Amino acid sequence: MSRTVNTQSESSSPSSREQLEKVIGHAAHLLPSQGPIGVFIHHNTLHAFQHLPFEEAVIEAARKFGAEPFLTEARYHYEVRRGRIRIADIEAVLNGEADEPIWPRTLSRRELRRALIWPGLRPFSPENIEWLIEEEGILERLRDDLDPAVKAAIRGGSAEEESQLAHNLFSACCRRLAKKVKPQSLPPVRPAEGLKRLTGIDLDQIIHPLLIRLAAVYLDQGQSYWPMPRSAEGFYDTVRSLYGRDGIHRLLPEERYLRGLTAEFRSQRLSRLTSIDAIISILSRLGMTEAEWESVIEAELLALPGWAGLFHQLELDPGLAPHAPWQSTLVDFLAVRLTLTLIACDNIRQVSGQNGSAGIEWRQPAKEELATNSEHLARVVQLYDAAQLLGLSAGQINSLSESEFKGLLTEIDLFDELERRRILHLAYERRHEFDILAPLKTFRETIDPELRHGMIHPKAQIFFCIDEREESIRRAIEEQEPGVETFGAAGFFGVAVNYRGLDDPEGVSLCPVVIKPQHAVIELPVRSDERMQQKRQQRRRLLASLLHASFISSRTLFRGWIGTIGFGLLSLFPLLGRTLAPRQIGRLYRWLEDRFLPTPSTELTIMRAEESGEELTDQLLTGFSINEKADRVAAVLGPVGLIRDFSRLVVILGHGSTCLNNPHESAYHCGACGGRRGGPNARLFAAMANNPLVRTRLAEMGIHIPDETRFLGGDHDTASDNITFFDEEAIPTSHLDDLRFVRRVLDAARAANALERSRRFESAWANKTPESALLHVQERAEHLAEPRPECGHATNAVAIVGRRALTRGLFLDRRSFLISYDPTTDEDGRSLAALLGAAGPVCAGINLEYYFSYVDNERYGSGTKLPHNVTSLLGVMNGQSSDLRTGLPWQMVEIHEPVRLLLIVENTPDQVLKAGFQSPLVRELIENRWLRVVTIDPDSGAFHVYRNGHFEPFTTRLEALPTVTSSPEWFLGKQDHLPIVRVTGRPGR
Amino acid sequence: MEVIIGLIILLPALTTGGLGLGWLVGLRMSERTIARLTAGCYSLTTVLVIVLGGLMGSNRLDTVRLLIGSWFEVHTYRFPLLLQIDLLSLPLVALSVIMVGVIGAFSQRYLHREGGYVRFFFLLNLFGTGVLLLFMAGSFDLMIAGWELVGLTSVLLIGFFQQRNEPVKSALRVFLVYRVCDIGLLTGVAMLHHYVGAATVDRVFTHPWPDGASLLTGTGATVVGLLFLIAAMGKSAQVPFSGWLPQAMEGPTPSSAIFYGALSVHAGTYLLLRSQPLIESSALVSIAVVVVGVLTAIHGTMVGRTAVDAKTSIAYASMTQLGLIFAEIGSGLKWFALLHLCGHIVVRTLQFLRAPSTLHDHHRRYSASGGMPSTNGAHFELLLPIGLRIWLYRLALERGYHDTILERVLVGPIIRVSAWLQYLENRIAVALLGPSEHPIYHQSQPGPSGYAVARPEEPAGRVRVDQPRAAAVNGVEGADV
Repeated sequence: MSRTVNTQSESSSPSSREQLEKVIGHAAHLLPSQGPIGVFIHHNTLHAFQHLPFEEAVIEAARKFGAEPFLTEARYHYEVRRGRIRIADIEAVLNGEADEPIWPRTLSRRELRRALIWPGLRPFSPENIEWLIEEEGILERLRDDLDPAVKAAIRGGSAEEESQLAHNLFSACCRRLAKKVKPQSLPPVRPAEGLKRLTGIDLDQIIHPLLIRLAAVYLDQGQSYWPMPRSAEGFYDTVRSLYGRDGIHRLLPEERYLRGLTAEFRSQRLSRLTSIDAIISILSRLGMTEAEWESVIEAELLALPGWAGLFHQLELDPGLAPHAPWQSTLVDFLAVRLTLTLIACDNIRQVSGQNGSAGIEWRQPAKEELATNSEHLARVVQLYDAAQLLGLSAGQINSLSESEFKGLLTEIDLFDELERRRILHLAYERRHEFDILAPLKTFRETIDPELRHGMIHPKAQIFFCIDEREESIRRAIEEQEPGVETFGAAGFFGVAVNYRGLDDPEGVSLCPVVIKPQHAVIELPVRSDERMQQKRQQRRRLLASLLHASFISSRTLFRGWIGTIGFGLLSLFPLLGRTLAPRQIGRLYRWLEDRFLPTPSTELTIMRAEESGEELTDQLLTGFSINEKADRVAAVLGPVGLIRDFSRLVVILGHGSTCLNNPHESAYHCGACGGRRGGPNARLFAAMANNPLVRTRLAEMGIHIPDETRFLGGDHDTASDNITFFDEEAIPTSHLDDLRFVRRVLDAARAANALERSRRFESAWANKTPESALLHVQERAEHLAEPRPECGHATNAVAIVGRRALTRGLFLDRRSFLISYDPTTDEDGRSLAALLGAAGPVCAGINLEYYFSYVDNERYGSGTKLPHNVTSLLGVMNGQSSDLRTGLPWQMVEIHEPVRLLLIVENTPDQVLKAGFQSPLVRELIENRWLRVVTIDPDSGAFHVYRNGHFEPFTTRLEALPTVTSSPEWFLGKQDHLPIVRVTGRPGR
Repeated sequence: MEVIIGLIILLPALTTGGLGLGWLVGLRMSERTIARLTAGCYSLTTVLVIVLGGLMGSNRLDTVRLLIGSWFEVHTYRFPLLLQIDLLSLPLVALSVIMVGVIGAFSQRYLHREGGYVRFFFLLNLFGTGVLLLFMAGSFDLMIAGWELVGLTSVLLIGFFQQRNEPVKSALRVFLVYRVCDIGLLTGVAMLHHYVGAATVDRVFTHPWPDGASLLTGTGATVVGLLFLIAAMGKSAQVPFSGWLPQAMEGPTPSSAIFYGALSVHAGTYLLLRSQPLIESSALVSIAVVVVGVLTAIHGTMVGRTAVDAKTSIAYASMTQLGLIFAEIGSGLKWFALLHLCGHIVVRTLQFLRAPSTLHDHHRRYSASGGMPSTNGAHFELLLPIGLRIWLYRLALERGYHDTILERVLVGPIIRVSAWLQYLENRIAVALLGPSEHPIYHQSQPGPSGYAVARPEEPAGRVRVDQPRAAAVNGVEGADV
């Protein structure tokens, strides 16, 4: 088979090139914006639709991606039945929407919707209709969940049997409803679609295995032993020079439907097409006009969105590639994809064509068709069901005028399944809002005004990240030891830094992804330990070469031969240990590590003389000057309101998560540190705040840290609940008692935290003591088979920006981000603007990613993680060849409750809007209702809820807030989400 | 000792039966119960195997047999149900019970809350029973039973995620290869009966493994040996039937580990080891085994080098070593092959179980070596001229084009013939029955009767007489080769 490239389109006109680039750029927005999985950043899955109001956006996106915008109707019905949604919520939502009369005076849209939404139209489809009629007998009797009054209305005074009533009603519906002409099915957008319709052959299944393999080997970051030969730059050129070859390459057979691929690549190579010209030429050979480009390119890219998206992300920021920054562009990917499409399309057409002609045309116009019987029947039965819910009798249906009937039908059609789910979802969120705000409001009114400002002589102060996973440990601390004060600040603690730890080969950014760090800090051994460091690194190199050798040599021919014969059976030890005694073997490995890898004391290169421009590579400044340090410390302490009443020891805890069997490990780390562990930031912050010169500068800024106050950095592992401190040895003897105190409090609290976390784990929820729970979570972190090392951010639903006094003593069930903020020290709202600008998008990103990964786990999330397979060190596929799975796996989200984040800010509505709107991103999130915003007036305690563009007062309060003496009393033995209660703490302490 | 042998196979069989029965009658077994049952069964079996090994060692026995009875007897011919453990099966039985137990413990956590938990454990137990039967069968006939159980469970676990297309298609694909190659074992055993008149191990070989010589020699040995080789090639993913192995990675990780790292892929090598004296007696078979093995090893290592995803990389590494084991068996290195086999089982299982932790492990290596560990892959290719290097790379990337070649020379023609037969059958059916009434070809749906819905006339049922050509297209598509 010989082919020649259409020569007339050899060099396309500049204007069409520009046009194509624009089209591709536009389509690229729709691709998932997840980068390499090693650094997982939570973001709004539908960021491309953020300019639209939430409900509109999710429906629009669902249409585009073929995904689900909300939970299923059945699920919402279940939630109504178990009381999670109340009828009052549904009515409140319906009352909040525009009303319109359908029949003058007798039926309005609101009434119709109220009648149809609960007990709810039953789902009828052409597929199930005959079953329901034959087997369930839905036409032989009326619904049994009808209100007696409604039933009486259907009866309309007649004394007939119910089956006769049902029959009459159904007959009336049959008579009235004419058979519908099916909406014309759209013509196919791309060849794969048209050919599948005509021949049943799936073009995508022909080209995807090869395309995926090519993309994976091209982007590979070092997994393969034999890297792809790269004689050219870029994906398209590389593939073309691999496939478009002559000579012995002719000996290679070609797949049935890819015959001619080599020849095609060869001719493209000979005519030296750029990727963009190749795309233009292929599109014209597929018979596409310029007007169709947009739709076809969008559809082609969305056929394999994960891989396309990765190419695009790496194009936007090549620095995302962990090791090998291969040139990666979406245009290249598309050029290869379209070349394969073209060849497969030609082959399918040839094979399926009759009589050896040029083959079938993939674009055949769709025909107008009448609805099939089942489709029509389903519609009739739906009308019959609606008539019952509305209490219409057969007589009434028969006597409707044509326009009345049409009006009714249109309204029923308008209130389709999607619309019903939208209303139910809003009701679902409304109940959640009430369940949070009512207790908060009740509690707010009981707070002693004196205590609102924080504690006078705290025994210790501990900073955590704002992460909702830290809520329980903060509560546990306060419950154990009421004299301790806790705060929440974004986990990078204001220190945006490029950090290289003692063992790290290179520096990484530890700060939110939107910030590019200007400063670099390196962890170095103290001078006296330099020898030790050398020894450590030598041994680590030795370990590395051993690990590497065992990795490689078990896979290759000769070394694998010797390896498996010689040492194969030795693997039995780690195999049995890892699966049968994971915690013990973990301890053994750590012991070996301590034994053979000496750990030197280290210091951080944080000092930099004022104004000195000593620079590292990449334009990074080494360390921070005194002023810079003071600014950073003030940026954390100021908004929190910690400017006086310091305790003797202030602990700063960053966080991260240790887990095996988890390609998504980074998603469990600190989001504010760019998906990495936040320990170094905490250590840096403490070192800065301990510096006397910095304190002098801070005093000038109004923050007076007394001399006897010491800061101490640490790291909280949210999976194993271990807490480690840094620079403990630098704590002066005078503070050892304080250190012991804090250690004791934290040890008790982390065990209590483990107990609370365990209640969610089905395999551990019966744990009764904190000690056994702690052992359990430690085992989870070490276990090779554990798909749920921790629950991550699942269940997150609320973010509270305000003083701890608003929530101290409330059981918030690990579902609230807690951002410490003191409105009384922030007259101009500048701190608030900074907090909202940073924390708002981060929290909303986490929340929305969980929302979408939950409501459609296959399309927006990455499905169950059991078949996940790490590829190219960049992402996961299902099995050996699939699209790159983006979003969160089911195991991460399965206990989540998909509601939009309820952002509660302690300040006046005006101030909150003013502060929030300073960031265009936050403004968009608020105005388009991707966040639900509530304000609490710092003085009056009035609550306001943002709805439809303005704030409405929220006045409901609970009669009495349920009270328990300790958290375990409330949660032990329960697995489900728990409402807010007040925890009084043990009496007598 | 005979009792122990019986118990070793009985315990897993009973566990499987219990699980299956419970599942069938709709008993709601908790995850914990299922996992404990499995763990209990295999810990006990492990102890039994150790005891048996100890007894055999202390009594210097090389074979223990248990005759359960006969399936049937016709005159002098009988089909005995004979179980035996000898020096070849002892290590494999020991590894099997340990591995199934370990995978059970692993899966208890890994599959927690996953739909199909019961199904997985049922299949795992069934597989355990099958693989023990395979290794302990005292005759080649009985071995077929174990062999088929292993194949069946393997296929069902590849298609574990039934709601997605890919796993089901891959499962079907593997099933096809298994069935085709199983013909080798079936006919091989039949030929064995033909030539020797029996298929028990003690009637075919003079002495117990490893000393025996084959009583069957000459043409008979060659024929049976070649047939067994085909069977082994399918199960152990040898060239050119190797294409299914990466596709089998669609199942959950622990099943990939137990089947394609540990036991199932080694069933082929076990068959060859078991019939090693027979292979040895025919130079042709010996050479064939070595050639297949060497080709597979080269193919596996080449493709494996280019693989960039964790599971495929391990799958091809596995294939490479399997090829070498074949070569060892073909050259008569029995003990060496057995050692290689056992070591390989353990190494691969651990690697598969660590596959989801690939990134974690990589970061650890990366950080420990202070940068990218050197890739030594460059050495091999630098010996070749650039053109050949690229050619080889492409060949490796396309996995040797085995599937394309197989489709062209084997599958395509078969499908064309059967499509033509189908066409013929349809024509005959039409000729005999008339065009519209036959229910098989009539696409109407039974509708609701007795209601006043006007049901407009269905378009008259059309007979679909496929053009053979179109059917061939669809057929190929359906088989997805």
